[in-house]
Amino acid sequence: MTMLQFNGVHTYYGPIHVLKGVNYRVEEGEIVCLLGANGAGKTTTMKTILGLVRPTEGTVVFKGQEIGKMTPSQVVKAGIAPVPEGRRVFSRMSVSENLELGAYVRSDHKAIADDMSRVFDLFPRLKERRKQLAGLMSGGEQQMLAIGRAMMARPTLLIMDEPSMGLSPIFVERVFDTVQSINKQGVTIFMVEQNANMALTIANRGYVLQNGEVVLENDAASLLQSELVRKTYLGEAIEVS
Amino acid sequence: MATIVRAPQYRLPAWFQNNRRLTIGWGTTLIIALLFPLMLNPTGHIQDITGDVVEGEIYAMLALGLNVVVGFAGLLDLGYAAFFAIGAYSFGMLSSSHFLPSSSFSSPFISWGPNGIHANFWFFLLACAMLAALFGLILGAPTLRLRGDYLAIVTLGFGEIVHKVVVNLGPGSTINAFGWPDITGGTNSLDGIFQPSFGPVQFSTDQVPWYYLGLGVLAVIIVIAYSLQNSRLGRAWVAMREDELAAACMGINLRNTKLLAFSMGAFFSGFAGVVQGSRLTLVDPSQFTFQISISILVMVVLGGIGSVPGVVLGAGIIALLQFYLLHQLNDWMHLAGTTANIGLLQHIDLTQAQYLIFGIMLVIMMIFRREGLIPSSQRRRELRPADESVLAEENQSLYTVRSGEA
Ligand SMILES: Nc1ncnc2c1ncn2[C@@H]1O[C@H](COP(=O)(O)OP(=O)(O)O)[C@@H](O)[C@H]1O
Ligand SMILES: [Mg+2]
Repeated sequence: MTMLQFNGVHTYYGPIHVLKGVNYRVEEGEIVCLLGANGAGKTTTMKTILGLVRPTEGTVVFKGQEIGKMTPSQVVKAGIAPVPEGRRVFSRMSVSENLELGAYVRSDHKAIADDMSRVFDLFPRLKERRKQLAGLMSGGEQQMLAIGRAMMARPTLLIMDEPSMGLSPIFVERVFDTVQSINKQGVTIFMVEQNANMALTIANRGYVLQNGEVVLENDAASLLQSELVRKTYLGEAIEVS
Repeated sequence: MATIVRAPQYRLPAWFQNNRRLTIGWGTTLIIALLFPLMLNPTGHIQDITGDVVEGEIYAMLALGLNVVVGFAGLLDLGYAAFFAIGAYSFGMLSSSHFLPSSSFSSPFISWGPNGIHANFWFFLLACAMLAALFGLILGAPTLRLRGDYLAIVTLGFGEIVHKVVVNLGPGSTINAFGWPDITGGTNSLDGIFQPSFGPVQFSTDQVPWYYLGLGVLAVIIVIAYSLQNSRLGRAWVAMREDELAAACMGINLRNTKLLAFSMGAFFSGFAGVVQGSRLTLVDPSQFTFQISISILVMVVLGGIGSVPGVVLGAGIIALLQFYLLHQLNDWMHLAGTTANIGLLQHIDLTQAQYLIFGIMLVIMMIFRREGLIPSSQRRRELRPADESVLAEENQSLYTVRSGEA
């Protein structure tokens, strides 16, 4: 089943044309990775899914349902949970309060408690620090919290915006491991990344976005071999043009 | 698996157990408050003092309402007196001899005739508060996309608009080129507001029944404020205050959450307006000026933004200052001035310097205790995030004015 599909989506910030007719497709159970330079429109893609930015043209379809005109709260209720760029944990709240807010759209208290212990199993570090203020934790711990918080919504699709940004190598690896294990639990993942090597290692497929247009789309292994990706994102043959 | 998700505490005994200090604090306050008029009786000054205390109760209602907007939801509102005015004027117009209809009508809720309009106080206490809440939505809707300074400016404008409308819909209007009728009484004030009765008790110039009425309304408001704070909505407010984008990512509907903050806040001040209008039998534009909005904000900041017991204390302190301490200080200064023959001291009038004194108090607060006299646990963390002892403290309490960080 197709989980998420962009059909010729255009978006604008005022007069600035950002996404210029993009098409993406994410199948159920996949990890799909979106690569692109700064300013390409990756975060805008995430915001469009969430309903924070509205497509002026084209449709965004989630499990057969058009979500392009929904509000963020409707989108989250429909089963999409975001891990926003820069983590954005509630820094003055404790770890467990952050996780509780992740389950804001749900009201099944029993299942929420179960999910919280599942998150703590996934991230024992968070369990140790559950009374800690989120803002006092390291970047890596905050990223775990942001992922755990998103999982608290019991999403069918997790959208992640540069989850490895600004993390030390050891945490980068942990984040990608986590993404993989979340995916094995049956959650579909659509992920923006700059760390193309790592991302493409765990992903099924990928898209390369340039100036708001998809310039390349393929399975992950082929993308890793492609000249464009190797040059631009894997730092081979550094050219100054 | 420790208890991680806070289950809603509907079993009251358990709630009291878990919030022991809070229970003791409010319980003591309630007992003292109930006995207060009896304690003062022997002095013979009860009437004027009680009147001032009722005024303080009204301040507390207003401070609790503004606290929902500013404290819980983090939306700065500089025109809050507007909602107070809407509560007072709507009730004043509906239950007074201001309008003298030629026809007659009678029903349990409202009746009118050549003597004026009589509205059922108890029903319209609620109805007028709901009208104020509706105006809260009206203010909220255009400000949804505004934040910080811009929001403050719009709310300031709203407060001024309501004030000017009230002035200009009456005979004092300088802009009434169209010859509209006298609706609000304008600067002449709207008087002849009817006063309620409750069983055998007739509310009139005797302030004691008003005192108990104020206490009852205040108790209801305090319970609502606590429930709001601990509700799903309350958590959404905290999240929104901290990070709107992250809150949206959690599926919190920002529009509804903001609108509800404005309208719940306005709702409380509607109560205050009805009680005040009926008690004084008149409403006047001078009761709803920008200075009043600022005074209410001072109560909230002084007591502790977001803290229910804090803002009640803040209101109490401002009332005490306005109605008692400043006059006392004045008398002492004049006495000292006369004794020592210092002209300046003889003529100084501290009541005129009220806002200067508020200002100085705020500056001192901002330097030494930004989180207010009784900080909310949330704010305490926000302002002193590194203080680990704060984390250990699970419940906020009523009488920790100087414990902890001092
Ligand atoms: N709120 C905004 N207002 C105006 N322009 C924006 C806004 N957000 C992003 N942009 C512009 O849109 C383009 C795409 O941004 P973004 O999607 O954040 O890129 P990426 O996440 O790929 O780095 C950039 O040129 C950026 O300057
Ligand atoms: Mg980005």
